[in-house]
Amino acid sequence: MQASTTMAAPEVPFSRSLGSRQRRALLAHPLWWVGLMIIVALAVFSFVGPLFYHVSPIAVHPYISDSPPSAHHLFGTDVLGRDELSRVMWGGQGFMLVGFVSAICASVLGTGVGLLSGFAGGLTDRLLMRVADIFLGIPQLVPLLLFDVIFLPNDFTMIVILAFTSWPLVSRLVRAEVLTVRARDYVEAAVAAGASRPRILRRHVLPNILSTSLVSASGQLGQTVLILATASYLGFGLPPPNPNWASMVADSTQYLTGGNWWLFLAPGLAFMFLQVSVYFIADAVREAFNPRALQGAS
Amino acid sequence: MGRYLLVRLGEAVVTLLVIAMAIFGLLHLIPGSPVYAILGHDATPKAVAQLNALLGLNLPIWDQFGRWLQATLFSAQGGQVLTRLLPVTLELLGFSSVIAFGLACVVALVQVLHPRSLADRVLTALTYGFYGFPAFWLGLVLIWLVGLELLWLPPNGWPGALQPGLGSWVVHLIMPVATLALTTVGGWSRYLRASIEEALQADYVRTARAKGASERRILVRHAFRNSLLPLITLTGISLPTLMNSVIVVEVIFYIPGAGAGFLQALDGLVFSTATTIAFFLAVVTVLGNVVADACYSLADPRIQYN
Repeated sequence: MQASTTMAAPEVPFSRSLGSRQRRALLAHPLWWVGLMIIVALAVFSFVGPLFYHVSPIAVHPYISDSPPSAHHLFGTDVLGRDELSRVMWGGQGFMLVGFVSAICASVLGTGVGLLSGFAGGLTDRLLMRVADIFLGIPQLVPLLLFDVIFLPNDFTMIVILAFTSWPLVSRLVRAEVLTVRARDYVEAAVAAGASRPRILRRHVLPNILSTSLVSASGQLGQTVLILATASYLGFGLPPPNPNWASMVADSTQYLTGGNWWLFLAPGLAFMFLQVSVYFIADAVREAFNPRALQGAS
Repeated sequence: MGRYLLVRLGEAVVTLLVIAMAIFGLLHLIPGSPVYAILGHDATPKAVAQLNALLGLNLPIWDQFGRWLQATLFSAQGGQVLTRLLPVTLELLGFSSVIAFGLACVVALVQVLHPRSLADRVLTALTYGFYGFPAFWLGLVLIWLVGLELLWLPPNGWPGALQPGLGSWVVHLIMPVATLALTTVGGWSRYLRASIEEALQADYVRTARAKGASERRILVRHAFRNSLLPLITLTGISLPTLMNSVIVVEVIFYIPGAGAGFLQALDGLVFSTATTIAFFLAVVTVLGNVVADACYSLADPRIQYN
């Protein structure tokens, strides 16, 4: 393996962007397309759907409460007579937006911390990684809910809290990669040539850890969306009155004994599709960007 | 190995101390002061000072932390969390992780033994599917389907003083543990499968093959056994994530464990209880990780810790 890497090295042109070979591997991966298609479909459903389906998700109609799916209300209505289809549409908006934005924030934060930790070394490194380990060692829901109770949640605080409690995994992986990149010959050559530390970081280290960062970010997406859903289910996530899939499932639990299956089926399935598509994409990205997996494929 | 475990335990204690400090610091982030909350905002400065002294809020922050930690660990409340709530949570966590571990082994072995077969495809689809189920939703679907429509199992609850006995305990445990195990097994089996496939490329497999060992024997005795090690590590690492699900599952199934207690305390803004439980939940996962490390070093005789 060692030999093949050194032999392949001259053929790979230096570039700031991610390798085209990896990009091609990603675009050739069926899971990438399936995942992407599901996510795009869900996004269109949630963001474009309401433009064509003009039924309010929060308008109350007591006289048609609790009706099962019918031609008039495709997904039925809830206990207040609110149209379930419209609620599922709107329920995806805040949910996907907050989930994706916080996953990106967590990944950027994690990459930054990982870079700093791996590059600075010494006390900074030890302190940062100690903090990361602590976050990784406890159930994320515990700090998340404590923060949530203290800083009352809206979309913005939710993103901050989610990012603040989810960065450690990315930072750990990025740091490990920084350490290996730092030991490479081209970094030593740059040091010998008198390059400044910021230049080495920007020009040599950062481009080479981007794929690790991307892989862990795509993995982070599923985690963040799941934890957001779990917190929302427990009543601590995105605030009402706007519906979101998880709190819709939570609301439906009171009526389980009444057999109102449509109330938890639609939002739950929507969330499951989102989660599975995120996993598909994460798997595709990991396999495309992981050099070991590439070697196995070729 | 004993020495290594001692070192790991020492690290865990330090980690837990830092977590305790963080939780204590969090308490100070709560807006408002307990003194004004008790006395009202038109309290006289004298009354405020008196109550501050009574509650120990005039002490240096380190003394306050010590008192808080003592109260968390050794008070009647801490004792209740430890003896009543945590055992239930540990039961769920323990059973579900063991069952998920076993299921992951079975799934991965079937998939590697019969690649591209119908069983492989069905299992792949199922593990992806269950992996996508959030615990709160799978739990609800089970409650609705098995508990309320089919009436096979009690939809929720926990055998307390009302329904003692082994049968009642098992019956109440099945659905929560199934929820936890099924939502966990997907990630583990996929990981195990990948590491078995990687192990099959190893030199010792080639050697075994050269010596004429059967494929099944190579797979089970060589590749599989060596792949179990990373799975043990993964199990340890996954404990906090599994604990997230345990918290939710306790809420869904009305199980009187630490997770449900935590949420109840948060809902009622009873911060002393919430932080006590939060700390004990951290204790469980941090120590669980040490246990996983111990299992790892037991399972792998090559590892020498000095």
